[in-house]
Amino acid sequence: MVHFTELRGNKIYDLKENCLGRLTDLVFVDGTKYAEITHLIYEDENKYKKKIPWAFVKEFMQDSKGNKTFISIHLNSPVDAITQFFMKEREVLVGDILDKQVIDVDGIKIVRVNDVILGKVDNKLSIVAVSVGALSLMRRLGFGKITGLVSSKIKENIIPWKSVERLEPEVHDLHLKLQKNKIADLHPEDIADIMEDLTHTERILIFNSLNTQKAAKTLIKAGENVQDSVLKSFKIEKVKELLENIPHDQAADIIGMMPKHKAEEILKSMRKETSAKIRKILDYYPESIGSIMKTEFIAIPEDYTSEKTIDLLRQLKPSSDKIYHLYVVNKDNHLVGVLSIRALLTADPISNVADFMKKQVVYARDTSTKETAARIMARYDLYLLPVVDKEGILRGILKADDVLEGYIPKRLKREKFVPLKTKARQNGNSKKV
Amino acid sequence: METPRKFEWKHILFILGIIGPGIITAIADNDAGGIATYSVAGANFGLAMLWTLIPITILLIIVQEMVARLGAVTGKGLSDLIRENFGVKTTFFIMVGLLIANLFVTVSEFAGIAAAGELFGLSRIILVPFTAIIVWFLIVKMDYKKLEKIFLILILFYFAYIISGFMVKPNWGAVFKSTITPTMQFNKSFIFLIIALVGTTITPWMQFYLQSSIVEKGIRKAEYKYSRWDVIVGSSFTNIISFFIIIACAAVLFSNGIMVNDAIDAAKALEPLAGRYALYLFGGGFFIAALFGAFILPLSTSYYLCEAFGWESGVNKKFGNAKNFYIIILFMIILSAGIVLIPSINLIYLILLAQFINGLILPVLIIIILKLINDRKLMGSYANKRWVNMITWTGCALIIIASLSMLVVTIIGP
Repeated sequence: MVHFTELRGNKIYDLKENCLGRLTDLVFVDGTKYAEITHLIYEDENKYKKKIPWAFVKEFMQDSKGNKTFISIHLNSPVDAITQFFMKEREVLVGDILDKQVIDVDGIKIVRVNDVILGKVDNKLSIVAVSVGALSLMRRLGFGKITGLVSSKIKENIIPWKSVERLEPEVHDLHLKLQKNKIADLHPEDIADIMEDLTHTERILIFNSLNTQKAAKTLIKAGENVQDSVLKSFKIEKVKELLENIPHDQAADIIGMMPKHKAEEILKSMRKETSAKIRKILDYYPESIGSIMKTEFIAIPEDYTSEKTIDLLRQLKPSSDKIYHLYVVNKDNHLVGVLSIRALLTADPISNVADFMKKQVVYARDTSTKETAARIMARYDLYLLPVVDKEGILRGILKADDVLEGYIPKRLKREKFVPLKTKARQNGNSKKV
Repeated sequence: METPRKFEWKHILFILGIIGPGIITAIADNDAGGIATYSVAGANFGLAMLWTLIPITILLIIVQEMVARLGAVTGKGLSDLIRENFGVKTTFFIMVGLLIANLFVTVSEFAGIAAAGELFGLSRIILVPFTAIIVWFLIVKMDYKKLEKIFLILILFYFAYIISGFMVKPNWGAVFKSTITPTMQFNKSFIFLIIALVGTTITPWMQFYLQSSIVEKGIRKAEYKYSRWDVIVGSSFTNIISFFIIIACAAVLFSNGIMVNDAIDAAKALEPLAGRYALYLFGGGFFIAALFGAFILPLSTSYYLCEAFGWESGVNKKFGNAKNFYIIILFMIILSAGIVLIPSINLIYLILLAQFINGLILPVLIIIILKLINDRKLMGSYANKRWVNMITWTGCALIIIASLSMLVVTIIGP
């Protein structure tokens, strides 16, 4: 992977190690999913521009000498095969994308292209993404090194080439396919989907541009090969941070895929309570309910009054699916009842939950299989199912969609919904209201 | 040859619809700093500098016309074009420099508002925040058309200077003679003032404002020929105002041997000699000039920053769609109004620094404008003709020499 602005200006050598000139631009064919680089353009010592098919490039080296990235291009063909510089239809210069305006589907200007990121896709050098963040801007100003030292927080913000569309060559603007006017608002599923087609290095690049929350979510949604390649190259510290930001059952899933020593290392570096919970999940058989249940849930002590319970909910502000059914436990954490939100709201504020909870609770054992859970949920028409261990202690809850997930192949799940493109892309002459 | 067209009122209305950006930009040029410079020129050197107004007007027209043409043909702001054609480094250099310079010039506008207010017995503690709020409110609430109307109304107040020019009953024969006969005094302060006149009339920020407002108004190639008149009329009018400022100050102050340092001094000095109304006209005109600057400078700054980064910009846009644009304006207004309110602050160094930066950037900008206007890929048949280029290059060379001399003078002092 290489930034176009770093590649530009590098020397080009022919078969006999003669320097032909300096690279000025690259050519790609517009309209393909990944814009493959077809030609390179260089300027010889007489300032003439010449165009060579990229297939002639034998070597394209990039090594870090000291701190400076050093790139040299070697050709495998004699110079006479080189044609004069002219552009065919649908051929576009990479340099023409640089500094161009990015607008969203509503025609609102968002940002400018600071750099173009090239990488190998199916072993062909292609445009992978455009870079729009502060980091690429700093690098072009020559402050790249300094910003790296001052703050690692400066982001390499990128837009995958897949979500970019070039408007008419006349206009020179780039066009975002996404409805959202923030790049960061790309849905984790979409990012995961994009990652699927990329090479390892590009995945890491995109991953690093996300915040922890989003990175974690993307990691979950990503296919196993993506998860694998990302986790392998990340430092323990970063993986730990990611895993602490996602539900324990999913963290356990990911840790479960790692080699034993690495998993152990990560678990050790985590907070005690978090790692203990993840370990517990890991102890279950992969097919058991215990391995997929949510271990974050709300348990109401049976001696709570209705008023106190509502206060507790106000404090915790649980998500709507968790508030659907509230499970009641005794002082030893045994599951003793279930509370509907309706019962809670209509009850006398000073009455104990034990007085109006439903005492017949449908539950599942943590060691039962997913299929058992599915059958129970279908029979009793349940969306949530409490999970207890052999002593009857409440261990987790199971959501219908967690169970369903086991029955749908992974590939199918990621068939993403593509929003319809709106036509309003003209100038954005929206008037104030 | 064009066939002569039938006279139609519809046609006139259409042309009047195009008019605006050129006049507003040119008049905004006579901001607090501009008025002060012309007042000093009149008070300290009498009519001796009147002749410079003619070449200055021509230079102003040359530059503004090119910028207006760039906007109408490309449909893009000047900053857009710089970023797309000259890359990040050039853009960044101009951006950082102008941000600082424009901020300090805005400070001087608010200082002008404060000083003019005090002339009428208004406290700056109340007047400055009040004006800042009004400016911000109007920019956010109004679309381009309404804002332009407000600006055009403000421009009417500049007639105060023309009236005061007549009120002081100058010797018109002498005025006419000085206007057409170039005279030179070879002393430091005379030469410095001529350079300052050029520097205050042709500024970097006005190029950005003009081009962006041409684009925002939606003027395209077809309407461009009328926009050219907008520029010519505007540039001439602004210098007619300068003309009357010099005349008024020369007739009253210079002939009585009163030297002044700024516009407020001049207004105060006018009172005992030319009566209360002269004070009101001069002070009021100065207030409007400063207010005008306080509108245009934050707008100009925000236009070019947003264009450089590719953020949505324009007073026609909703706040949510062009957040950065409005936030930069707010930042400029709050900061500069705030600096003015700091007790016993000496603004002279800020203004000198702004002058220095502008002097540094203007030559670069002029060369960039010339390169852009001659780019046939960009401008097509609207690129400069060869003979036009001859005039343009000469004019621009003069501006560059003046602004470089300004640099030297700012460093070593007049």
